[in-house]
Amino acid sequence: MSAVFEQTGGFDEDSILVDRYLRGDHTAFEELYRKYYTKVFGLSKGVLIDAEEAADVTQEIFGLVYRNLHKFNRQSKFSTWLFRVAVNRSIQESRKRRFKHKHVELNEALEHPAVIQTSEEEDPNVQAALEKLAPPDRAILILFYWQELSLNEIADSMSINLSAAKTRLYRARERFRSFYEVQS
Amino acid sequence: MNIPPEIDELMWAIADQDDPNAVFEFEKRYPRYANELFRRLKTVDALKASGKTVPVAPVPVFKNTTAPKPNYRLPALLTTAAILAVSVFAFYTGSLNSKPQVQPTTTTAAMDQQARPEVAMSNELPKQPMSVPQQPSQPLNQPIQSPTTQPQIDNSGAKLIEMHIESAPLHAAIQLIAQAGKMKVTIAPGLANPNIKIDYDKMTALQMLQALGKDYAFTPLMDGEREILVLPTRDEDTQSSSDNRLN
Repeated sequence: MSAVFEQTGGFDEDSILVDRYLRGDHTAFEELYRKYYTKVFGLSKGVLIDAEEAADVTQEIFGLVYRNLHKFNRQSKFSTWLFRVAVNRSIQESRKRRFKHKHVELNEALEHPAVIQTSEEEDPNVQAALEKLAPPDRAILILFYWQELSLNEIADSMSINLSAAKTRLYRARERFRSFYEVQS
Repeated sequence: MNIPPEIDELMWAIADQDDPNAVFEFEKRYPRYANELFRRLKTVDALKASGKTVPVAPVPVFKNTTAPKPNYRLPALLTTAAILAVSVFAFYTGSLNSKPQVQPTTTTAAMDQQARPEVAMSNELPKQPMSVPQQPSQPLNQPIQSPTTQPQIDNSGAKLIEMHIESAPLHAAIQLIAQAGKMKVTIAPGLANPNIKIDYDKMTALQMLQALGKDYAFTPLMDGEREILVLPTRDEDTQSSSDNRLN
């Protein structure tokens, strides 16, 4: 992936901000944070479904980035590295919360049946179908269709090779479609 | 419905690109899959639209929250103390009862069985779509001139290349162009394969294929960063005009 990035001669303007931050300018991190907050939040919400949980995890993700930015090795673009952290953390959190939710008391579940929280414009069938998918499937669909990353960038973000990214996208799409068509 | 892998891949590519021309051409060519394509278009549209409706909260102030470290100290101390106590006890009882002990013989075969690592399940890759381009049915009439490439870059970051071919089958020419542009190309079934001649200067691979497509009735579609799908058109007029070019 880094070779492709180098071949096309793409310039990562974020590396200027990273350099400034590493030299002690913390306002540079604020700029990165503001630039990518919405995208990272969108990704987290897509994986976690719940907006509140997504907001919490987004803060955690940027906290991780803040503490570990010195480990960013420039083999890929900063955004790709950021998405890698975001995908991993979101999937991790989704698995943890799924496990927690399975153990809710039965009477609590009966009193408060799960409600899919959607805004007015969100398609509830899409949300319902996404919720049925495994977190990695949700993540790859969101990276491809919402964040509009290329397959190479997705492969980099998920630390898999291009062929695996294609396969996973294909399967995630098919699974989503089967759930979505049933819902709608 | 049993869909051939290359058609399956093509339909997803068209659904993702949402190009009305490509949709029209596909439906004209594969009318039996028109409904399937429509379902995929609907799915992809719904998925894309859903992303645009993610509520954009105002960006909160960044808080460097470090998760509180669990207090491992006391249990760790107790565990260490217990291990020390057991070790000391074992040492003293061992030194008091110092009989020669027969070392148990281990069965290496059994150990190997246990120690054999589990074979990791590898992701099952889907079958590769039928390899298109097909081998050219006609041998090359004349040697193909090596494409001369100059490492120039156009505005989109793609390499500008030259391609001069005296005579070669169309499919082979498409492959050469893609190779010169460091791209991978998949040619959908049904594209004619006449002998052609081309002279292109300082164009990207995609531009060359687009120009070639106008003459030889196909549409190149980007399928990812470095992959192109070549989709034949079935326009009778275009077909006959491309035939005339050969004479």
